[in-house]
Amino acid sequence: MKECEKNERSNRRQFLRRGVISAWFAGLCQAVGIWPSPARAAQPVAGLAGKALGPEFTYDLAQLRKVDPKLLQYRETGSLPLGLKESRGLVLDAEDNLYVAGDRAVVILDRNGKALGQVRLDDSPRCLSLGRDKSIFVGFKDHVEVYSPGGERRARWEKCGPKAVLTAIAVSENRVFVADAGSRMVHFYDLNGNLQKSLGKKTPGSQGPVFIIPSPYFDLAIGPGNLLWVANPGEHRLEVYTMDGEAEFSWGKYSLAIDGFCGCCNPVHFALLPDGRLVTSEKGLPRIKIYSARGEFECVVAEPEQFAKYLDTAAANPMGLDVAADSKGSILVLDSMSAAVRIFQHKARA
Amino acid sequence: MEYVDVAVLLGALSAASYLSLVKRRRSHLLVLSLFSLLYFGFYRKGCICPVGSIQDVVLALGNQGYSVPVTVLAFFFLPLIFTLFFARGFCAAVCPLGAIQDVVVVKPVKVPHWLEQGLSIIPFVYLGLAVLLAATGSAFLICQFDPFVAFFRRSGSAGMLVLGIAFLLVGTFFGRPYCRVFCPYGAILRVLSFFSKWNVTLTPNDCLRCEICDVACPYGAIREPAEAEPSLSTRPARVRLALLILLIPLLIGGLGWLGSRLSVPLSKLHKVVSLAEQVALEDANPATPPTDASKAFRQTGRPVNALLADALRIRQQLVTGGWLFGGFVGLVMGIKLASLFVPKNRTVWEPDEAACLSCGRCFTYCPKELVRAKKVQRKNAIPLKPV
Amino acid sequence: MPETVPNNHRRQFFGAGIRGAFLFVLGAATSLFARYTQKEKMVWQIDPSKCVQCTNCATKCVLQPSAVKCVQAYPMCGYCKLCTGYFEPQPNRLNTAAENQLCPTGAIIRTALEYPYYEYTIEESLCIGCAKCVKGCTLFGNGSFFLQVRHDRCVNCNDCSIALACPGHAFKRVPASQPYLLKNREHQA
Repeated sequence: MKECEKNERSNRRQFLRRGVISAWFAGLCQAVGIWPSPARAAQPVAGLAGKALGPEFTYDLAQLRKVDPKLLQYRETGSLPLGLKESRGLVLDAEDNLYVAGDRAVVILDRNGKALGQVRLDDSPRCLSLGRDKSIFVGFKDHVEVYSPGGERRARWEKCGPKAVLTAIAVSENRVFVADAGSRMVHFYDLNGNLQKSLGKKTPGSQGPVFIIPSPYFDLAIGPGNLLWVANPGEHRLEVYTMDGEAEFSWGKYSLAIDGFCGCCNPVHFALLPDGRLVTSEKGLPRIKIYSARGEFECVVAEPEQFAKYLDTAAANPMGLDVAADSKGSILVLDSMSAAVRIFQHKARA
Repeated sequence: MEYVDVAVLLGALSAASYLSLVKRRRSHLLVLSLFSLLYFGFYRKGCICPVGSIQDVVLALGNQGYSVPVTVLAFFFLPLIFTLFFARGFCAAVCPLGAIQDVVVVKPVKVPHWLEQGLSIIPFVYLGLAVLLAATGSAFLICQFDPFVAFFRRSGSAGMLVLGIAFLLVGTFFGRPYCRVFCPYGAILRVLSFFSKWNVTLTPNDCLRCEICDVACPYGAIREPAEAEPSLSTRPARVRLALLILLIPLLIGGLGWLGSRLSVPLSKLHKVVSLAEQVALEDANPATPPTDASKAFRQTGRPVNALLADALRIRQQLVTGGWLFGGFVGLVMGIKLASLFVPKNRTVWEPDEAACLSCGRCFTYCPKELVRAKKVQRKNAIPLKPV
Repeated sequence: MPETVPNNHRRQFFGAGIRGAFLFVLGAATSLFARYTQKEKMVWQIDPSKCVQCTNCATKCVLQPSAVKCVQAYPMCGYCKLCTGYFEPQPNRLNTAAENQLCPTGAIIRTALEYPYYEYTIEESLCIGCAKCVKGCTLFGNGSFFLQVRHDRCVNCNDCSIALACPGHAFKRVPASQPYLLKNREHQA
C-alpha cells in the first residue's frame, strides 16, 4: 500500500516536474525570441500569409491599352510574312518595294509580299537605308556597309567608335546620317564614309544638342525641305535640324495619355509620310500614332492591344516596332515577333 | 556550415545510441533531444532534415538534372546506418520533429493494439506517395505538409501553423502523432530497427512481469510476452497464415492497379501537367479566363504541343510509378497482416523492435532497471574514506 | 527452457543475415548516389528571363518580408530622368515626392548624377519583392530592375514555397558558389 502511494506520489512529482520543464523551456524560447508568441500566432505569420497585396502594389496599364475608337482611324488590312527570326529595320523605295533587315540578310519584297531578292550579310544588321541609286546602306552594331542594288558589297566603312550601337541611317543627296545610340550622337558622313561631324558630341563650352538615349532606340529620318528629323527619346521629343546640324525646332511631351509619348524613352521609331506628317512608334505601350509636322496629335494607327505579343513580356524588353509609310499613305509596321510586316490603311480609304 | 551540421548530426547520433543502449538514462536523452530541437530545429530552421532528404535523394535518382549535395546524402544515410545497428536513437533524441512532440507528451492514452497496427501502415503509404511524387518531380509532399517547420522558422502560412498546433495538441494525449502515424522516414527506420543489431531492452532476465513499462510507454511500443500472441501449433492457424501469405501477390496486384489509376489526379500536382491542362482548357474553350501561368507560358512562344507532350510523358511516368506505389503498399499491408499471425518468441515484457522510439522512459519506471542502475552507480561511486 | 536456445540462435543468425543485406543495400545505394552527388550545396534562385512580375515573391515566401528583393543591374540601366521603375505611370512632377513614386514602400533611392542622368538604388531593407518596379522598368525601360533571392535572408527551404506558386516556373536550384542569376547586357545592345 505504501509502495503504491509512493509510486503515485512519484508519478505526480514526475508530472509536475515535466510541467515545470516545459514551462521553463517555453519561457526560455520566448525569452530568446524563438517561439511564436501568441500575438504573432494570431496575426499570422506567412510572409504575408499568402494574402494578396494592397491595391497600391498593382501595376495595371489595362486601361491604357485601349484607345478611344474615335481616335483609331486606321485598320489593319493585311500582313506580309517574313521568313526572319528577328527583324530590325524596314524601309521602302520609291516603287514601294520593301527592304527588311533581319537575321543576317536584307530581304527585298514587293508591296504584295513577293520576294524580289535577298542580300546576304556576314553579321546581324540593325538598321538600313536606301541611297538615291538604290544602293543599300546597312548599319551593323558599330559600322556601316554599302551594298549595290544587286547585293554586292561596295564598301565597309570604319568603325564609328568603341561604344557604338548604330540604330538608324538616313541618306540624302550628298550625306549619310547615322544615329549611334551607344555614344548618343548623330554622325554626319559623306557618301564615301568620311566622317564630317558628330552632333551631340560633348565638347567643353559648346551648347550643342544633348541626346538622351537610355535604351538602344535612336531613330532619324530626312523630311521634306531638307530637314533632318531626330528622335530624342529620353526627352520624349522629336527634334529637327538642318542638313548642317543647326537646330530648327522640336516638339513632343511625356504623357501616358494618347497625345504624348509614354515611358522612359519614346518614340523608338518614326517615319515621314509623303505629305510631311509623321508616324511614330512607341514601346512599353506599343502604339502607332500620326502627328502633323508641327507636332499636333492627329490620330491612332494601331492601339497596344493589337500587339499583344509585345505586352507583359517576361523576357526583357521586346523590340520596338519599326514603321514606314508607302507612297499612298499606308502605314507599314515591322512586327518582329510575328515575323511579318503588318499593313494599316486609313479607314476612309481602305 | 553544412559540414558542421553533418558533424553535429554524427555526434548527436552517437550520443543518442550511447545514451539509449549503454548509459540508459532518460534524463540525458531528454537533454540531448532538447539540444537537437534547438540546434536542428530552431537554429538551423529545420531544413534540411533527414525526413525531407528522402525526396532530394529520390529526385536525384529520377532526374538527371538534379544532383544531391554530399551533405544531404549524409543526412539521409547516416541515421539509417545508425538505426541498423543501434535502433531508433535518431527518433529519440536527434530528430527535431520528434523532440518537439516529445516535450509536449502530458497525459498519453493507450491506443488499442489493432488501431496502433493499422495506423502503422500509413507511414508506408505516405513514404510511397512522397517517393513517387518526388521521383517524377511533381511535388515535395513531405515538405509541403511538414507540421513543425513553421515553428522552427517562426513563420509560415496559417495552414502550416494550424497543422503544427493540431499535431502538438493531439500530441499531449496521443504521444508523437507525426512519428507514429505519418513520418515516412520513420517507416524506413521502423524496418531497419526491426533488424537492428542492438535494440533498447529492459532487464530481460529479471522481468517481474509488473507491466509498469507498458504503463510508462507513451508510444504503445511495449509488447506482452508471447503466451498472449497467436501460435502456429494448430492446423487452422497454419492454414490461415498460408492463406495470408498467398494473399500478398493479390494485394500487390490489386493495389498496384489502383495506384496506376491515381496517375491522373496525382499528375495535377505537377506544375507542367497543371499548366498543360489549363492551356488545353483555354484552347478548347476561349471563354476560360487565363491564369498567370498560362499567360506566362504563351509569352514564351513555346509550342503548345511540346507542352502537352511533356505533360503526357509525366503522366505516363506516374502510371508506371503508380503501379509500383500501389504494389509497394500492397506488399506492406500483406506483410503486416501476415506478421500479426506469426508467433513471437517473447517470454517477457519488452519494447517492440520496430515501434520503440528509444526514448528511454521505461528505464525510469522498470523496478529492476532502477535497481540495476543503482548498483552501477554504487560501483562507480568514489568511496568515502575517513581522512 | 533449453529448446528455445537453438531457436534464438536461428533468429540471431537470420537477423544478422538481413542486417547484412540491408547494409549491403545501403552501401550500394550510397555508391550509386555518389554518382549523382556534388560537393556543393544548391540554393534557390530566380531566372530573371522567366519572371512575370506576379507579386507572388512578396506574398508566398515563408519569411516576412520576403527573401526576394529587387536588384539593379547598373550596366543595363539607362539612368533615365523619367525612370518608369521609379515614377508612377503619370507623375505630377519628376521629383522624389512620395506621390510620384511607384514603389509603395519607398525602397528606391534616386540620386542626381551629371545632367541629365539619375542613379537608382534599391534600399533592400525596405524592398519586399513585389516586383512593381520590375514591371515598370521591364515594360518601358531596359529591364535593369529584376528580382533575385537574397541569400543573406533565404532560409533555403527544401521545398521553396514561392517556387511552388511561381507561374513562370522561374525558380530553380543553382550551385551555392554561383548563387545569383544576373541579367546581362547581351540582349540589349
